[in-house]
Order: sequence, then structure tokens, then C-alpha cells
Amino acid sequence: MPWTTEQILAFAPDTDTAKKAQNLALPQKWISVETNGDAIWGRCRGSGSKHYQTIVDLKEPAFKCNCPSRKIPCKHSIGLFLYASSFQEDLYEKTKPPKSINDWLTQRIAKTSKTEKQKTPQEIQKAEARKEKAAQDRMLLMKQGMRDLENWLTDIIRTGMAAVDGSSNEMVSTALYTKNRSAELWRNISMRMVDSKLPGMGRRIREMSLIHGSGKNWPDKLLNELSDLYLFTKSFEKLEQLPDLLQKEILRIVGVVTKKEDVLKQQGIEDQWQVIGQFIGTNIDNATVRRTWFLGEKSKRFALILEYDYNHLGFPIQWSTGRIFQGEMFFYPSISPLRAIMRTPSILEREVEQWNGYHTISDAIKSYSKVTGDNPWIMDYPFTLNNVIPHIDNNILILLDHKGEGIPVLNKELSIWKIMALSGGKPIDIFGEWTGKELNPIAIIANKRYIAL
Amino acid sequence: MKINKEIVRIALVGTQRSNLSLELIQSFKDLGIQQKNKEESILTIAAISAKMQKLAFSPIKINHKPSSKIWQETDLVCNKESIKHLYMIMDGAFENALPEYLNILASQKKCLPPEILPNLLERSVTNPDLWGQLKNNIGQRGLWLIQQNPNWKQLTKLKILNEWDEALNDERLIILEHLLENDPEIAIEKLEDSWSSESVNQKIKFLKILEKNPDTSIEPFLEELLDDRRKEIRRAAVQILSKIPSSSLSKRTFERLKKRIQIHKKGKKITLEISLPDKLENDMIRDGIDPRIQWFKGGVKASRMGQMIALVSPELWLQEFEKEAEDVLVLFETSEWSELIIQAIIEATILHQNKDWARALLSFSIRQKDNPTWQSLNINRLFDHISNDGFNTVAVNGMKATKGLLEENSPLTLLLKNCKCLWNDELTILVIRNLQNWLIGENSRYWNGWHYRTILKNASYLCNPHLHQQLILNWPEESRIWSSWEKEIDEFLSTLHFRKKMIIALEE
Repeated sequence: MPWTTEQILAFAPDTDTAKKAQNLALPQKWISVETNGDAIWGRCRGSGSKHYQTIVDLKEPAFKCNCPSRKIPCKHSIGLFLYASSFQEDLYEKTKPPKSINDWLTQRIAKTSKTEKQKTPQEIQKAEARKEKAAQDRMLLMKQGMRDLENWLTDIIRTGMAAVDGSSNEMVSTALYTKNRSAELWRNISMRMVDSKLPGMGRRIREMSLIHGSGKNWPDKLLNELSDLYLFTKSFEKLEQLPDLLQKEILRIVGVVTKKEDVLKQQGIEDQWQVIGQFIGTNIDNATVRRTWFLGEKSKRFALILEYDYNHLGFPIQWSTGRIFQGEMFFYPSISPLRAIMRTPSILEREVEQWNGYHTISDAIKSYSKVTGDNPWIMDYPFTLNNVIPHIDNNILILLDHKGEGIPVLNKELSIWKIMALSGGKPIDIFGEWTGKELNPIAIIANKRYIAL
Repeated sequence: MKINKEIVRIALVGTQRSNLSLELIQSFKDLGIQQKNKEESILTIAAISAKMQKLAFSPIKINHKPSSKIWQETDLVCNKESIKHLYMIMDGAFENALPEYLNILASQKKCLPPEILPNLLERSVTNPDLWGQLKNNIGQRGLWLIQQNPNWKQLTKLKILNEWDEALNDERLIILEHLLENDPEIAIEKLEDSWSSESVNQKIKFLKILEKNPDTSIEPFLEELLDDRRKEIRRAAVQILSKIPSSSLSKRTFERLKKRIQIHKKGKKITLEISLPDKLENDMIRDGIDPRIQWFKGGVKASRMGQMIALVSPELWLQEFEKEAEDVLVLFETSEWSELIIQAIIEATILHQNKDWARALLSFSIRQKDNPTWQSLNINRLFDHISNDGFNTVAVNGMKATKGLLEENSPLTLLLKNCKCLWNDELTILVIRNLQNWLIGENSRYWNGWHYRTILKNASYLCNPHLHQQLILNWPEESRIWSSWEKEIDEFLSTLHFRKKMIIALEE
């Protein structure tokens, strides 16, 4: 089985499940374990008299278990996966799945290849008209919202950023009256944005409210954000005059959702996609956010799959870093398309051992400048750099290319020392997000081994 | 830069409270910013400046090219499976397995994967025991890495060995330790030179280092400290001198004791006669006997006697009576002051880290578990000083003598719960079968047996993991209380299973 323990444990929705799953990866826990090569299924002893039927579809992989847990995958699924991975493949006697398991596997295949139901021309016309009217109404609302935002931004500069601490969210006492009024200011404008169909702006403002007083350079950071938002409102004013793809980019930023089915109507790119980095965190709305970076081996394209889990039930597909998926990637319309979704992904046995990357820093910076020139609203830009040597200079890690040119690396916890350790002073390949000032390191390949930082 | 600072300042205090400088107004004109008000101008120039900074980033130039041939690539890193196991340990799933992992790795002459080094080196800075193990696992790459990080350099002591006078207090502790191992005379010379100018706290820290290496070469220096005006210094000097069997202090104290402990034979019966010291001479006080301390039953005199016994090496009693430790204990037991002597012998065993006496005392304590006289003996600190063989002998004998379940606070239970010696197979099987028998017993449901849970946890890292196949059997899953035990037993078996796989992978 090509899966490693680390990769399997990465599928667990939380550390508790991972820990419990390891306790289930023991022979005494399973009454039976069988496989047909594409899936494994087994019956796990529950704590009472019940036994749970657990299935792992190895192609994506995907999980199913009839235990009462709401987590996907549950501890039994991960436990079965771990247990099965500890055996040599030839020790398995391949069997045909029983009907219930076969049904689920067949349903999964049907679901992923299901095509959209055909509509009549009249239905399509009506739907289009409705859509257009809704879009016009929304645009009016959004424009008004953006004007309000612009006024709010200039008000802040007039009264001063020092006076608007947005970090307090509770009315505690009269002594904190000023602070709480400031918090209300941020809350009100954020809610105003949501009411104006600009949820993207609302979220960004809520995140900005946390910058106040959050570190030594908070005034610079806050002004940076406020001014960027101001420039954005100006662009929005002239939305119709901008190129079509830039319009779409701006609308995506303000929170106009492009439906998945619309994305899937675009031309996809079939490739073998390396999973080169992943962040899992919680956003301001307390949703789990997963950002997974892919790099196409043939297309040499980056893709970002961005997923939100509001109910904390886990993500249905597990993108295991350092692995490769065969599949068709569909990009959201944008002037610099990065965000994407993948159709019918299937995991390959081999792992990421090398990637296509820039060999000089100046080439990487040039490509970033070009993209930023086309799309000034791009946030962090993916870089893969090959054969760079990490070098510590005045407590800053610099990645040097063979010409002696370098870029600084963001220092987060021990990551710069991990990079130094993996390099040992020798060239490495690195992937990270370029902020325009420094590289936020995400993963490394050293001696053909992928290591997430 | 100046303009940027001004923009941030104005944005911070607000345009209604500050005026724009002429220079800033000129910058607006230069950039073609013609907004309708000051606020919009500030926001526009800040945005343009941020975008320009991003777009105009120019790569950093380094004049000296770092050499890529810095260290010899001879490190043999452990295999992929072992790396996975290490990740599991580091993630906290089996964190107590780390020392075993590092020991086996070192015995296989293999190195840790590079990405783990920073985390462990960082922890080692405040955990000398971890560094003691880790230094054998980091390879050439690790040594190179340590030199790159100023915080880690102190680990290898390379930076500071010759810089006693300039070194910081903590660094001098490292230098002293190194010198004592390699050149004790120079160590004492350095110490004597700076002693008068050191703080009391620093002096005590130095003495703690000396205590790790008690040696005759440091005796004259310590003898002088017996007259120091600080009690803490005098006490520390006494402790170290007592640990040097040939020291004058040890001999003086033992001579005093011999006069007060006499053997009497009446036919076959041998008894011990003890005479407690009535007066406390000045030289006894100088040798560490505190007239005010009262830590044994029996009053001031008994306490003085106890302090003396606690200072001398228990080994000396074996020579004096020409008997084994167990037999000397029997002899002590005959004395009317037996409680005093045995508690003091426990202290002496701990001070002198005597393995034979630790075994004898623990064995004695287990044998006497039902005798109320001996139930208050404080044996816990002996666990660190017993040898592996000694532990297994004592524990196996104890288990064989145990009928039914282990009592919660019996000496054997405390030993099995707390001692960190490795368990032999016989002991493991005896303890596990004892638990299994209890689980199926009728009385088991009336009592939760918390101490067995702690014993299982301790055993999971100390017993032979290759027994896993055998230990998986015979668990009474039909028992009425099985559900309340399943979790602990699963954890025990999972840990064994993990360690077994870990060892196999490391030894591949």
C-alpha cells in the first residue's frame, strides 16, 4: 500500500481522532479486514456489543463508516486505513466487496461523473434573464456599499487610526466606553458591507480590526490595509472600464461567488498535480479553512484549492502533501487564475521528489512583477525555487541563487532553522508564498524528499 | 522613508489634528495625486507607496558566497519508517518513547532526520539530559547546524572553553564541568581564583557541579569551605566530601560512628549496641552535624547519630561487619534504634548512589510490608539508584510472594509505578497475569484499581515490546468491568506495538 502513516494521519479532522485511530490500528480491534485493491473494508469492534462497518475508497481516498460519529473521516476509518497500511500488499487476499459496500463505491463513481441535467432553451433564457436582473440589483447595492466604505476610510484618517481600536468585542464597563465604541465602528461597517452584498469586504474588515495594537508595527500594517482597501474602492468605481477578467477578479474579492458548476464549464487542465503545500487554520468566522497548493507536472501551472468547513465535520477529500493526484483542474475566472477545483482526482503511487521551479531569484521576481502589474489585487504569490542556498545574515534567512542574489524568508517559529537543517548549507528546492517583501516558506525538497515546513 | 513615516504619523493621529509638511505636499504633486481632500491624498500615497515597494523589490546581494563544502556527508539517516515513528513521538502520541528511540538510533550509528534537529536542539538548551542523548544522534550535519545558531553553540561548549574570565555565569558552569572531566587541577585553580568575588548562588551552583565529580583532587579546596561563613556553602562542602570515601571528613565521621556502634555476641545471638552522642563537639559541627536539626524520631541525640550515619558511605558497613548488605540490615534490625539507623542508611544510600544497598533496602521494605514499624520508611528516592538487575530481582521476588492483587500503597506497587528500570520478561508476565486474574475475579467490580493503571502505563515503556504477541492474549473481555479497563489496556498494547515496530525499523 503506497500510503504512509504520516499521510494517513493527515486525513484525521483533528488530533484527537488521529490519536484514537492509532489505538484502533491493532489486530485485536478488527473482526475482519478485506480489500479488492481499490477499497478496503472491515468490521471494527465497538465499545459495546455493536460492530461498525468501515470502508475506505483508496482512489481519492474517501471514507464511510456507520458509527455515530459526525466527524469525517472518523477514528474507525483512519484506524482501518492505518491498520491495512501496515501489511504488505501481497498479504491481502483480494475479494469482491459485499453488496452494501459495492453500492456505496458505485454511487461514488456515479456521483463524480454525473453530468448536469439538460435544460430547455426557454428555461435557460428565463434563468439568464433572472440572473441578469439579480446581478444588476446586486451591482447597485454593491456600489453604494463601496461608497460608504470609501467615506468610512477617509473618516478614519481624519480622526486618526489611534482612536479606532477594533479589538474589543464586549461591552464591559464605562471605562472602556471609547474602546467599545471603536469596536462598534468596525462591526457596523463590516455589517454594512454584508448588507451591501460585499461579504468579502466585510470579512476583510473584521480581520483588519484585529491589527490595532497587535505588534510593534501595527500602524504601518493597518495603514497598508486601509490604503489598499481605498485603492480597491477606487477600482470598483471604474469596474465597467476594466478588462473582463480583472472585473471578475474584483468581484470575486468582494464576495461574488462563482458557482462550482460554472467553473466546471470552463476548459479544464488534465495533469498530474503535485500537492506542494497546505495550510489549515480558522478564519475570523470560526470556520476551518484549508488552502492547498498544487503544481501541474506538465502544465507547470499553480493551482490553489480553497475550502471552508463551517460545521467542523472534516473535509471530504484529503489532499495529502507530498503526494500526486491525476485529475482535471478547473480554474476560477481571473486575470491571474490560481483558485481552482479538481474533478475526478485519483491518487498516484509515486510521491513528489522534484518540481519545476525558478533557477534565479530575478526570474521569480520578474514573474511576480508581471502578474502584479496585470492584477494589482493579487495577495500572496506562489514561488518554487530550485537550487537555492539558505544563508543566515544578521538573523535573517536569505535564499541565494547561483548568481549570489537572494530573497529574505519569513521567520516563523523554527521554520528557518528547519530549512537550514535540511539544507546543511547545500542547495535545496523550496516552495513558498511571496508577499512582495519576503517568502513565507511552505515546503522543501532535499535529497528527493518532500518535507512540509 | 521620511515621507512614509510622516504618512503613518498623520494617519495615526488623524488629519484633523496634524498638518501636512511642504515636503509631503510636494510628493503628492510629484506623483500626480490630486484628490479632493487630505484624507484621500494620504490613503492614495500610502497605497501607491506599498504597491511600488512590492513591485520594485530588488534581490539582496551577498558579497561573500557561502561555501557549499562545509561538512563531510557521512551521516547515515534512519529509514523512512523510523522517521514516521519519530514524527508520531514528536506529535505527542508516544512521547515517552523518545529516550529509547534515541538510544537505539545511537547504537545503530544512525542519525536523526534533519528537519527534527531544530526542535530537539531547542529543547536541549533547557534540558541537559536530552542533550546527553541527542549529541550521539545529530551527525556532522547537526554539529554544523549548531554552529549556525548562537543559542545552540553553548551545547557543544566549543565557543567558551578558554574564556573563563569573560564567560557569563552559566557559561562558567559549563567550562567548570568540562575542566573537571579533563583537567581537574586547572578547574580548581580557576575556581579558587574567582571564588571570593562570586555570589553565594553562583558558589552553590559551582558546588553542585563539583558534586557530580567527587574526586580527591578537590578535597583541599572543599576542606577550606567547611569554615565558610555561609551555612549553605558549608553544607554543600560536607555533602561532596562525604561522597569521597577517602576524604578526611568521611574517615573522621566513620571513626566517630564506630565508637558508638558495637557488636555484642551472646552465643549465637548477635546484637548491636548503640550509644547516642551526648555532646556535640565543635569538630562534629564543622563536619556537618547540625545541632538544631531534628529529623529522626528519638530527639536531638538520635538526630545527631542519624546525621552521621546518613553521611558515611553505606559500603563502609559491609567492610566493618564483613557481611552482605542484606545481612547488615538484619543486624541493624536487632538494635533498639533500628528505625533511626535504617532511615539514615536510606539517606546514605541516596547520597552515595549505592546500587547494592538500594536493592537490599527495597527488598527489605517489600518483605516487611505488613510490619507497622517499617510502613513509614520513605523508599521512593531509592528508585533512582537501583540497578536494572537489582530491580528485577526485587520485583520478581515481590510478585512471587504476592497472593492476589497488589495493594495500592505497598512498597512493591510504588516500585512498579515509579521506578524507571527496564522490566524483564518474567516480571512483565507476572504483573500482567496478576492483573488478568484480578479482572476475572469476583471482587474486581468493587474497586477501580487505579494503581494498576499507573503500573500499566509505566510498564508500556519499560517492558520488552516483543512480548506484544504474548501479552495480547488472555484478556477477559467478557468480564463485567472490562469496559472500564479497555482503554488503558488498549493503550498499553498500542504502546508496546508501536515500540516493537519502532525497534524493528530502527534496527533494519
